Amino acid sequence: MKTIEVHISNRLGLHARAAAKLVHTASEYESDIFLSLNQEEVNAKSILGLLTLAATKGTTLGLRVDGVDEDSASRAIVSLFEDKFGEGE
Amino acid sequence: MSSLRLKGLIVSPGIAIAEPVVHETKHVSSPRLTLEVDAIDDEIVRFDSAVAQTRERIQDNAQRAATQLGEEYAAIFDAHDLIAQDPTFLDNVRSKIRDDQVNAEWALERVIEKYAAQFQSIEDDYLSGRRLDILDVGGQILHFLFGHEQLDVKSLERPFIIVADELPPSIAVKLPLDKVRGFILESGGPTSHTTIIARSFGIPVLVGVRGACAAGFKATRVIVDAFEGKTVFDPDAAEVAEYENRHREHEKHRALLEAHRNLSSETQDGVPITLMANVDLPLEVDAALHWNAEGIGLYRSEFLYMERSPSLPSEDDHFEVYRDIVRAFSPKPVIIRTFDLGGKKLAREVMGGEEGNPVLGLRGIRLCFSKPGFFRTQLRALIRTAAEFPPGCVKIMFPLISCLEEFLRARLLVEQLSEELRGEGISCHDSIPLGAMVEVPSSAVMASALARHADFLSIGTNDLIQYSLAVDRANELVADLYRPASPAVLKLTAGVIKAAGDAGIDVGMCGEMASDPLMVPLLVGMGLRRFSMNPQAIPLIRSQIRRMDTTQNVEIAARALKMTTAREIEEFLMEKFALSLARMKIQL
Repeated sequence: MKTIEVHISNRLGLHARAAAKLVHTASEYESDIFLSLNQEEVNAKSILGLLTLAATKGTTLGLRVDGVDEDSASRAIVSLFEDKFGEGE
Repeated sequence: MSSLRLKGLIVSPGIAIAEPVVHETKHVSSPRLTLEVDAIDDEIVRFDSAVAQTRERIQDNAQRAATQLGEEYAAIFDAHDLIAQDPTFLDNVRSKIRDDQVNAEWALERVIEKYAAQFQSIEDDYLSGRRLDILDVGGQILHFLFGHEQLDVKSLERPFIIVADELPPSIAVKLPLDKVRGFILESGGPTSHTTIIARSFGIPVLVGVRGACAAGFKATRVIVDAFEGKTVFDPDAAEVAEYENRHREHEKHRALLEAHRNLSSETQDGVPITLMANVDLPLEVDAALHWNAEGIGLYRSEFLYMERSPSLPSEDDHFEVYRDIVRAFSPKPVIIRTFDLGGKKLAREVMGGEEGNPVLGLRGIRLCFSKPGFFRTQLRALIRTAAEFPPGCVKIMFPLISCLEEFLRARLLVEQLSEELRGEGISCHDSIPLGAMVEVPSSAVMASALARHADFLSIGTNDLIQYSLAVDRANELVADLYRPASPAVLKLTAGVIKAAGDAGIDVGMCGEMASDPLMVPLLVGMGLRRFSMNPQAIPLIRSQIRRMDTTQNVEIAARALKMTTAREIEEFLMEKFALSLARMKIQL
């Protein structure tokens, strides 16, 4: 199991489009992937869970990945956050 | 059976009589049924198959939206598809069925309720609005569970009128527009996607019709009168005959307008009047071309933003949309108004945070200045678009100018950005015509100063009336105070027209008043020569102008401007014009 922190730096935060990208990426992996904020943990493959986090720019989230492909899965998720979900700002 | 009359707000004019088809989003709750333990697995299978059917339908809708309306609309359904395959959501329902030993409908409704409440409590307006998406998807699954379609419009053979509490895009996108004769909606405003589409197809729409669904369920026939803003459920024979007659007259009249669509808009005494189109969506450009608009008098660029929400359009996104529209009209001019967001309009991501009094807050040009990156992107795209066409094809208009400094600042920014683009090797025009919307009373009062610095002015009547009279017409407690023919509004309008004339610059009008057959002759009398309106209104106003005599209207305007109450002016205009309009079959 891997636990890391990820930081939201795109202007809009975890809005519909960013959340959708995250779901698509997370769903490519077999591992269980969770994000947490203020003791609330949601499945990163669940669009509704991600949206209800209402995570804005500047928030730090906990990322927990557990499964056979946890290394590549966590790399993919982290780079999505670092890339600001491809939104460029 | 007695007939029932309900009033509503007109968002797209016309008359229709047909059978009502009711679509109510508020569904009837299903009862809780306790299951035998050995029936639970079957119940979960039943739920899963309803979900699978829902996903098929969502994908079907996405495809339909993409081909009929463009890829941007399909994105709504991609979000729905993600909800319909959300593992946590589906597992919650499955465990509820298993743990509580209940039927799938009951379990699903409880889970949806919980999510809806969670979304509602989010402070961000955009995210809390996603509540509608889960309700829409949940509603679709429920209907497959119940074993019947929510609204099976495909099987409807006869023409019908949609009666709905609200019309989510998942339904609107499936409507066979050749069979839909009208819309009666309990909620919804003039800017919702559904009403914009209906308007561009010339389908009559009334919104804000309270109690319409309840009435629609019982009625076998309904009349939509979107000239007078009323509906009649189960009309009696005499009324049906009257409306069938009016409808036929209206159709005949439309056919006549159709035949005359290429005629010039010149008055009897040879004064040319310019009729332009207001356009929200690229979809409406076709209608504007069809009715031979002499250019676009108002392109509301904020719809570009709305379609891409929550991400912002890039400079190239702007450029491509503008270029296509200008190309369709060139060499006729296209006036593009920079983003007019804020106020009550959709500005959730851009704004961030609530304002106590948004209509007097950060909106229009003020919002543009407060988000320099966002305004710069749009202006650069506009300058680049202008450079692709002969000078004068693209004109830029700034919304909600309330003082001269704002206009000068916007002009300076355009000059700086043109210089910047030249540095990047783009050969920009020396100057692009820049105009100010006159919709704040302070600008109307100071119009002559503004006219010395602007290349054109455009009177936005909806806001000018609301700000001058301090009336929100959506507030039914004061809506009757919203009077376009009030002497204060007319005086301000006449002053703006005169100021522009004195300065020798072009002035037009792009608010609703510009397509009001009772006001148009008065405005021509005040000296207004350019009118911009929704494309469907152009043929009617053109035929009115072709019968008009300007010298007569100058006298009428002079008399109206001496009057001191709205009522006096309204009665005077009715007396002067009602008869001639009735002869032309223009419905007031």
